[in-house]
Amino acid sequence: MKMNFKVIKTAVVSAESKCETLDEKRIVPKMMLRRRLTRAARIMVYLADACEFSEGSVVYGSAYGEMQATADIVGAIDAQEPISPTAFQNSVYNTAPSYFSLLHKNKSEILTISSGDETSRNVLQTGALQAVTNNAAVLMVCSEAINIANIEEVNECTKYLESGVALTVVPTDEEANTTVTLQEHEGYAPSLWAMLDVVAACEEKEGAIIALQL
Amino acid sequence: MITTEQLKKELIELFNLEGVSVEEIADDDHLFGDGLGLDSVDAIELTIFLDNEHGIVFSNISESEAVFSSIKNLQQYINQHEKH
Repeated sequence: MKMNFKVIKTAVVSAESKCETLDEKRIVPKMMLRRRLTRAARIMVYLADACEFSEGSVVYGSAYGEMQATADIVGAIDAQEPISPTAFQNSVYNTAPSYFSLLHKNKSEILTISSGDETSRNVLQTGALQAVTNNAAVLMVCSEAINIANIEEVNECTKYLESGVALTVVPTDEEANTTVTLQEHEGYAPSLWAMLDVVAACEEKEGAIIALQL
Repeated sequence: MITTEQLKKELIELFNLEGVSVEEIADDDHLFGDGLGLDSVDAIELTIFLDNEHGIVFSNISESEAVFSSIKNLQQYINQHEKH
């Protein structure tokens, strides 16, 4: 079953090594919170800010999760050292949207999805369901932050070691006026492609309405 | 021997205290609460750091509470008990 959704805002960010313009000091003014943010969390709050979204349901996706925190834990185990509690708490897949909820005191539900190359496709579907269920705007975000030491030895899927895509949608009874075309997005991890398809279709189009599979 | 300035640098790096300089931290600043503002996760992080970098392991919690009460106390404790 398909339903129509108005795309309110979209945002994309990417860098071959590190996104330098995430505006963290403005978005996260409290240093004691900002200091804990992982790279994925910084990308996530930046994208949410770009979509002007701070309150409501969030669906977040990442195929690779918190790579640096995971690497820190594995490194500590390998060196037979105690595991850093900060690395431990930052290693879970929902770290980024959790910091987002702390930042904005957002008490709405947050779902986190990780399903390999299908991640953003499943985020779209889950986000659409959330939007219909609540009849309200939903923020969907997918990001990958895999810029860790020696990543080049295994990375074959992306030129951008940091990247993210976000959009906010709301259900509508209006007819779809925008067709989303499946395409490859060179340089980006395939886990982001489905949402990048939507952003590409809606680019520079005010009031884009798309049909999403529920 | 570690100086208070060296310790402050180590703490700024350990806790990623962005924008905080050594000069802004007083020797008698508390590590937690109204001082540097560290929290319970930081307390565990600091305990692990002291073990890894200075070979210091606390025998009981009350001992660590006294040591963590200020930068100066921590510096003195490290210099008295460092094993590396």
